[in-house]
Amino acid sequence: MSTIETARSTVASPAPPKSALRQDRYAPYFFISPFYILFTVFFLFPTIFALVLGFLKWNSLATPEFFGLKNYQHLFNDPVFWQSVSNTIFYALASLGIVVPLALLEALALNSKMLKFRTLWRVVYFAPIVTSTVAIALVFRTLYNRDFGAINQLIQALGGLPVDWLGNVQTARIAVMGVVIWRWTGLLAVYFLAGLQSIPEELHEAAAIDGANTIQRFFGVTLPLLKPVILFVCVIVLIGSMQIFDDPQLMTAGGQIGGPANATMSIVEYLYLQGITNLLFGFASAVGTFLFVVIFVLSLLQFRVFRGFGTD
Amino acid sequence: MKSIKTVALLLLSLSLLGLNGLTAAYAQKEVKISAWTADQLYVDYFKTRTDEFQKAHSDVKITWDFVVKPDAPAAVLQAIAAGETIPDMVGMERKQFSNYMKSDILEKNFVDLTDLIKDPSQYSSAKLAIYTYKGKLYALESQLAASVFYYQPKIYKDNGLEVPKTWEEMVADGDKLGPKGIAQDFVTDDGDIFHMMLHQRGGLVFDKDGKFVLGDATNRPLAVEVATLLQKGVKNGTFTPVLGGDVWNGATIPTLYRSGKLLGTVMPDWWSSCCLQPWLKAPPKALGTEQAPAEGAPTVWAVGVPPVWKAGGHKTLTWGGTGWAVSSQSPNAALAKEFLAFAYLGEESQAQKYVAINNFPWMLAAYKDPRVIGLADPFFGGQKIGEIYAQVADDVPTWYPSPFLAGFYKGAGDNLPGLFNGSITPDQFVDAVVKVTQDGIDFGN
Repeated sequence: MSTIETARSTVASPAPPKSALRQDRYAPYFFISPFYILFTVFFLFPTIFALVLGFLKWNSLATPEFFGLKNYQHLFNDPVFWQSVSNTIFYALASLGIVVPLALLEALALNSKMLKFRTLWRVVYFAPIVTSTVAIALVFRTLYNRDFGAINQLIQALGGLPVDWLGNVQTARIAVMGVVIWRWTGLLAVYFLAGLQSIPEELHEAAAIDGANTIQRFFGVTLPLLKPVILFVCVIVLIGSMQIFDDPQLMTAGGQIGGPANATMSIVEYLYLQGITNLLFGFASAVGTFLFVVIFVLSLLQFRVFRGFGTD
Repeated sequence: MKSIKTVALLLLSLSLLGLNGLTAAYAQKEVKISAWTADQLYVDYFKTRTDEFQKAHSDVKITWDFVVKPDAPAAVLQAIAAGETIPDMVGMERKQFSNYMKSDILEKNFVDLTDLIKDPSQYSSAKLAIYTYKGKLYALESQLAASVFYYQPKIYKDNGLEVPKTWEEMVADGDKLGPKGIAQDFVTDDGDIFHMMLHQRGGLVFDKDGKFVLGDATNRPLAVEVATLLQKGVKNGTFTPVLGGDVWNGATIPTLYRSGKLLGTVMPDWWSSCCLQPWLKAPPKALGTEQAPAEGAPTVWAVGVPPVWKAGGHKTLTWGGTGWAVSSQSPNAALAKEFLAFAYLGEESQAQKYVAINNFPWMLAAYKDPRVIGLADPFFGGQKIGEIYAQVADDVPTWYPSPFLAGFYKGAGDNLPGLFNGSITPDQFVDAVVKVTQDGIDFGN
């Protein structure tokens, strides 16, 4: 009875003032506004501005002129651009084909119960991520050096001929890929490790009771349950590879941007060359738009693949 | 009583004098001049001249705000593009100068220095031409940048060879030295290597009016001749290619020098102070390479005139250089301009600069200054290297800047690896460079 009375008294209470209602209505917008303000200032506006710039002739100093599709015509007729596309595809495929499987193997090893000093190994594998890229580049440039690098010393000790890793058009991007593998495998292994640790132990035990050996358990239990993580890793690797810049840039710093005969030039390095070095902002924006479209399409494809695997 | 009065008056006078001095000191305005450069050597030189300059400007107290970073000229350009304030003085590496020629950047942002050169005939015309745009001089060159041959004479002697006088002789010597793994010079995939050799041979990339002329009937055969020699030289081991930025970073060149695999280098005056001497005097011990000769020990290095082309051309070749420009946005523009003239122009300053940082003068009279030709360098066994520079200083090739020079360098640089490894012929190389440069000019964005 007393409960009903209380309820009645609540209903009968006077209506809140109009200002309070207005506050209730606008408060959510106020709270979400920081994100949208930042999103507009730092993403939406620059994106639209870059799209427009792609149709202009502009170097930020002179008055912009409408240039039609000339930036795009020049872009698609420039062999250096296609070289950068080819190199970027190489980095992406090599990352997917080498870095991802290596990271998975690394994670399996780090997750193994037989492994001693597990925390130490995890720290060691993660160390490249927290190491300065410049320091990494210096060390790798020394290792790759044609005349006194440790890799060539080893090759020569085994009776081989020294290789000009970073100076040779055929080997330069392979050398850059070596750095990418060393640098990023650890981080991806952490993602896989998190995925592996979320797989219930009972499933492995049940499979073992059913007579499945280690390999069968890996393909029958581990891999299917890791699919969402694998797909997530593939997406970030693919997008990261499309935007690769600092690894090739630092490995060839001091020489030609893009390495010897553009052998290591990525799309973003090409954009940097045109925009920052040559001050061709209109043209560089066209390159950026191209890259945006490519990544957008690839992301859509990835989402479709996600759905195909039944993962939202 | 009289003496007390006299002492009191004296004390009063002294106090007033002191007060006057104090007031003068307070009246001295502090002026901070900001200067950006890619090379610490210029900072060192500016500092050595500041006190002297200060004496003539008692009304101001000059202090410096130096920024030294490898990409300083590009950073200034980006600052201009972003509408930010630029430093009072900018050390423009001359390759970057061509980028400053775009969109009236020079006219809008830098002071015209033409009036500082009262008599142009006193200076190397080549060094004035590099920083002249639309008839106005926008930067003062730091050094003549005339190349000489830095080499290790013992290696030639041990192999029964004379120091080559022409490029053709050098490549012929390569037939003997190359198979032993001894290169006489290095080449890079920097378009500069081709650019400087072409100009020494007498060719041009851009003419006085800024027209692209590399592909014309006069310059194309010369370009092919240079490319042919480069390809032949790499093939027989005369030139060792050092690609991918290792010329400036790392220990590749010093290690090659010390191991005797690279006996020398044709390079300008700045090579000695920026690279050769610092590298060899402070060897990278961690790499286990042998130490440079102790001071006073018989040197293994010498300087000679550079090889010339058998068929003609100039006595020397030129690479690099840094021109100092003054920002017209700066409230200190007049003072900065005055300092630049004080530190860079006239025989006295040109000689002092050479003694301080080995930047060979580009004022003709200074070539004969005893401090220039008489300076013995212990690194080169007491050789008076100024005499060698002076022998070639009157015939430095002139090359003209263009806003499209960067396109030429990119085109040449991209195709040099192919020329070096023989995958393209010298003719194809020149055609490719002409095409890339012309495409850039036609696009003109």
